[in-house]
Amino acid sequence: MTVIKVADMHCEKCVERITKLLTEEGLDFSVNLADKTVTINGCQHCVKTALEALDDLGFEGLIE
Amino acid sequence: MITQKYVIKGMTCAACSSAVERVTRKIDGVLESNVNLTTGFMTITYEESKVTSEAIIKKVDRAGFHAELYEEEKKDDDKEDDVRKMRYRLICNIILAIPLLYICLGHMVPITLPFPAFMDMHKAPLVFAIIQLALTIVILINGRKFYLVGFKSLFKGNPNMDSLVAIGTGSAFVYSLVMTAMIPSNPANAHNLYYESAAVVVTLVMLGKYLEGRSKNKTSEAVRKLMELAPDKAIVVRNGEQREVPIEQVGLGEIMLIKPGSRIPLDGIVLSGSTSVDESMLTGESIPVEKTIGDEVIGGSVNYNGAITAQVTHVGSDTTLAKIVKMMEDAQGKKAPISKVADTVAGYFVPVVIGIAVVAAIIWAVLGYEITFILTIFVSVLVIACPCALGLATPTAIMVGTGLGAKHGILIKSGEALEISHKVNAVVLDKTGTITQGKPAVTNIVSHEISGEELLGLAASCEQVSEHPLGNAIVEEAKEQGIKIREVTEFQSITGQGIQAKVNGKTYYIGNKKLCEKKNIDFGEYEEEATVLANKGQTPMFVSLEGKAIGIVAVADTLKETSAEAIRKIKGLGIEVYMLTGDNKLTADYIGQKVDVDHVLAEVLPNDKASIVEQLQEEGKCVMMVGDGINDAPALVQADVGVAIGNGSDIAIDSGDIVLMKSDLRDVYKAIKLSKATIRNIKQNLFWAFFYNACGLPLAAGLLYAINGMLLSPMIGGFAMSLSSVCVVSNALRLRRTNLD
Repeated sequence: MTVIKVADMHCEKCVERITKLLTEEGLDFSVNLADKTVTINGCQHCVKTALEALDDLGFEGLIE
Repeated sequence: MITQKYVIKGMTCAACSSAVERVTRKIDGVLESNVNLTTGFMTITYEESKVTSEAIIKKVDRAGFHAELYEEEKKDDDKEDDVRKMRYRLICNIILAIPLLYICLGHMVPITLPFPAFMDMHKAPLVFAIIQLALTIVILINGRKFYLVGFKSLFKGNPNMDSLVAIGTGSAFVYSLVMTAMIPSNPANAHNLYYESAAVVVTLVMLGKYLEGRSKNKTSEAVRKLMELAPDKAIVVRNGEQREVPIEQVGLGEIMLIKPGSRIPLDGIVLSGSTSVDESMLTGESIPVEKTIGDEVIGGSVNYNGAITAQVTHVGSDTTLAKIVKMMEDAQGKKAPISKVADTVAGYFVPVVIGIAVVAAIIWAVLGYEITFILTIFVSVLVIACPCALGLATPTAIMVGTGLGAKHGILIKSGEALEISHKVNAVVLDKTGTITQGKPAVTNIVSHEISGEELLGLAASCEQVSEHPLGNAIVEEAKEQGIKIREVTEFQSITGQGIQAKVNGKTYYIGNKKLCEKKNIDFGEYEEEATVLANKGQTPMFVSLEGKAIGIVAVADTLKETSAEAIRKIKGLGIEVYMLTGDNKLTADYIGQKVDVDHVLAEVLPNDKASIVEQLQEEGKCVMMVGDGINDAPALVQADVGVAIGNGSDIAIDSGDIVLMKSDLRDVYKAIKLSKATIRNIKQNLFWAFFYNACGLPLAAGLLYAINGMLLSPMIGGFAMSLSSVCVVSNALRLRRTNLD
């Protein structure tokens, strides 16, 4: 389980965008707006995919 | 390298616009990308060799938004192009219709007109017909839109004005075509041609459509101009450094630096410095507002003379300017097109006429009459019911009415505005610049020590180098009275309070109470007098010398000479008059009482003006809003009729349905009176149009033939139709003699 900090996640719209794209990528994940985090349940490859997806969404993800 | 504009959909907050910027800036070949959350636009500059439009759209879409290439400018060009094409077609038709009318009707006039023998109706009937046919075909091709739209609507069971034009002129044309084909066997058929009816009706209706298209083309300019008020960039202080950044990148709570002479980028609260700000876009108030620490500043307003720093309180769609833009867009969207009487009538008229023609033809067929007789009856009914007069009834009266308005300096942007104005039962007047002059003037001079003239001379001498509007008012008044202005030395402006200046070696202070208190000046008996003046809506300025007040010069926005008379006249029409102002209640009541309005609405925030108009509309009132400022624009659009004062802002003028060229409220009364006269005229015209049809239709259907054997030929039908048109046009022209005073 890897927690990624997404500092620019501000609103429900951000959550919606992240959820949509990570779902499309087939990842097992959860998004927490209060903590501004995305938790990935999977291998390093999944984390890499998630970071790339976040980058495509305009977010900078940092592994905690 | 190319710069393009995209519409971005799905953005809800500043984080969204930042995300779009980030993802697009990362594309290899993109040099710059700026997203405006308020307008929803992204402006992007990229190298065409490396990036494609599709790649940008794909990237934005992947980020969870939707991007579309902005084509508004192209659309605007297309609209203008359409109107240009309409004009060419119209001119072409007018040029062709003149010889056509000459050929068709030339032989009917009492005097002999020169006419070439080769196309004489009697000597060469076929050539006579073919020339008319050729001219008419070109005219009808130019007006093909009526046939395409008209028949389509008809077949869908929803006939409109175009259907009437199409079926009426189409029948006349087809009948004439059949008659032309029959000329070789019977030359007398040359008398049965109605090409000119078809051509003239199409040309006249095209003229109406062209005028309508031209006025429609001017919409949405007001919103664009409003958006241009907001600067693209702001200077923000980050980590102690000043940086110029695109406005979309400025966040809530950031500190912005606003230099003198620049526009304030976003709404905020002043943290340091003091200045005068022109907030006319927001308040309509031409007098600059003094701003100091703790005061609110509004994005889009102009900072005059002092550098200030302010903390951003609203960004994006929350700014006052963005809200005004949104209100205008909403109001424009909400504005329903007014009743299209002619189309509604056409909805019943066309099926009824076709029904009468068919029923008449069947009856005569059942009675055993020949096909030519039946065809004559059928076409006579359709031709006599050709909607020429019906179609002309409204546009001609409106054309004459708008022309008469223009003669009086009342520019009416659409026939709709002229139509609605007659229903108006509430007129809402903005105070500043509409009821009042909108610029300060000296209203009172009080001094117990020296003469008023001397005091004004002294004050004007001190203020002559001042750039403040209140100071300018004093100098102007002195010049007007021919008072000598002396040399001033050591002039100093004290922002928000007044001035200090040396005249004849003596130091004078001119300014408000705050200045006097700061300089420990003794008000003496002037304090009380200043309060009385302030209660009358005036701004008293103390003139003091050597620590003692020596008089007061009061300045105020004065009433226009004609305002009271205009309001009395408007009330005389049974219309309620409202005065709307951001001023305090005391000042507003004083002005309201002077001009005798029915209702005074004071301390109204600019954003609320449109809501007040909406509220009155909800109460069932038909509202005319009169204003001159940018801040009036949403209310002007919201109102049933918006009247902009001609010397007001461009945005107000664009938003108004009616523009008054003179800054005279009496023209509002004239506009309403003109509207009432025009509507009366339209009703008369419609009566005549229906009267002719009501009389003509039974005759065309063969009623007289059944009684005394007389058959109304299509030619007589065409003549009756023309007569009804002449009647309608003549009646409309009568409108020119209307007295509007």
